Amino acid sequence: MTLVGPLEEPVSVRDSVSELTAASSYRPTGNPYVDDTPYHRPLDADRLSRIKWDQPLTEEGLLSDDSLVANRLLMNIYESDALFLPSGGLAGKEKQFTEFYGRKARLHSDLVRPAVESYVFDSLGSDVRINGRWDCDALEAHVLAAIDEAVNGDRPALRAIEEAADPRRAAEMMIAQMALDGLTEATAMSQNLGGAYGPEQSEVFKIFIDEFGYGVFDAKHSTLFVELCRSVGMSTEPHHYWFYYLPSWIAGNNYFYKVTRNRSQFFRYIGGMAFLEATFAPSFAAMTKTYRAVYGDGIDTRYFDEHAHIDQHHGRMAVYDLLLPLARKHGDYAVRELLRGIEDVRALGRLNDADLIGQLSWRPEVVTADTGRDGQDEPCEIDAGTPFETMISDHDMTVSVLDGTAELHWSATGGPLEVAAGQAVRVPKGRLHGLRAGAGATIAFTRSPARAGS
Amino acid sequence: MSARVRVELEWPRHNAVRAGDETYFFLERAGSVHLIHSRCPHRGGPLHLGEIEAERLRCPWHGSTFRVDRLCDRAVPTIQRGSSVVAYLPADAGEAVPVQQIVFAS
Repeated sequence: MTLVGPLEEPVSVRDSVSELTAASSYRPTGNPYVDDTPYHRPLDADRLSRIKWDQPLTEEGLLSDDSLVANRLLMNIYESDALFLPSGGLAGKEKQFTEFYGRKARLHSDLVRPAVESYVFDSLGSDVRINGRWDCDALEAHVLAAIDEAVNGDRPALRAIEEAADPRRAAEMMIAQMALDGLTEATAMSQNLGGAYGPEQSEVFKIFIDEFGYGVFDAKHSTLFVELCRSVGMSTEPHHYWFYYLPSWIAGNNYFYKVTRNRSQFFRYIGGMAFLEATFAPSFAAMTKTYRAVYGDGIDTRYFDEHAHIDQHHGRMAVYDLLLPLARKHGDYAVRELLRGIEDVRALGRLNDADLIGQLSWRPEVVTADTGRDGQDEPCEIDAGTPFETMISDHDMTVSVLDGTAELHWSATGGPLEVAAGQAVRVPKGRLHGLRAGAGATIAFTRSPARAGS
Repeated sequence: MSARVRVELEWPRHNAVRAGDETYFFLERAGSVHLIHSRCPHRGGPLHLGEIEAERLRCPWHGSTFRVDRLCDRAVPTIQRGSSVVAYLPADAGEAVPVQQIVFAS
């Protein structure tokens, strides 16, 4: 795939992605957690170089390793448009700051963004067809039915936390996913505050100022999220848990950047946002119950409680003061796009649940390695200097450690599983995991397809 | 009170909806199913028993013909996901019942 760059020179997506990943902001690290800087977001240049950008992911493919690396790239592209300053001050990080927001990074980000968006999102909702002559009455009936289904449906992710062998680890893995939005809440929404689009612009602003705590920093939703993290001993720095984001959750966050960044998708944004706002209040009330059950009184649930209250209003406002007035005023095109936004977000919600529940349900265990496979699989070697990475297995497989001791990282908190020489661990298809050698150790391991029943 | 009657169907197990005295039938085009009011605007003939020739649906009563693409554009609003279809019929349609019945128009 080629793009037209400055001075009309054709530039390949691959070349621009390669330029981006070579930047210091995206350099690899040996640490399984990103240190206290908002400007360091490791990208795996090798895996990105193998992506065929002109062959979009399928909807199911949003759960894959290709989705993981492509969505990390896309998130960086979007977030380099938003301002991050280190909580401890800029001193000593000036070079990181200027490189992250530098002209070269900006240029390559702008060049590849449409292709990466297309790769990630073109198939989203492709199995949903919107047929027939829709009008505002039908739209209202559908959005109310979709909200009712979500509000009164099961909450399998919360149930998975409650039933997990280690509920705290599971609860914190979900907080890590929510941090994608929680620590920068309403940044995507802010992209639609400008312009001139009538009374609905003021309705968006009303919701936005609630998100921003009416200018009171301590009441800002992202501040409440920070306090939630702090109360359970989690990092409050954006992207500290960079390696533990699940691909569909990054995609869900990226979706809202995509539909706010691309103005022609404004109605999709409103459809998706209104649907979510109208379902949040009971969802967050249920989260308070689950997290109280896990942590007792020690957790600061004001983030959940604030949404359980204010989103009763935001849901009504987003549907009756935004979605339906926009549909009445702007006609058929708007109605179909609003519907598409609702269906896109419902599809992402299904993927988010499947992705998270799969990860929470996996509890890796050490077993004795199968020596019968010796010599059949090409061994890999890593040492303490090897960059850390997490990836998604594309099939059930077994990681066998031949020499040294490996750390298997599979959740944002709770520590890794140690796998010694002669031991193995099974990694099911679709599960996020990363391997690391202990200090001073060199480990050799193999990845092989899991045997049936193993 | 919604101004629409919601009905959930499973295509192709259901190929029509009966709502009061009215019939709505499914017409599939390129993987999309369209729920079409069967009443011919001429004299009320049963369009679901008509035949399609050259992408026009012919009413079996008096031979009036209608472009299929326009029928689809004016069909009942539906959301289709795989075999699952949710339709929103007019509020005055009465109780809507998914059915399997003879449909020639396809």
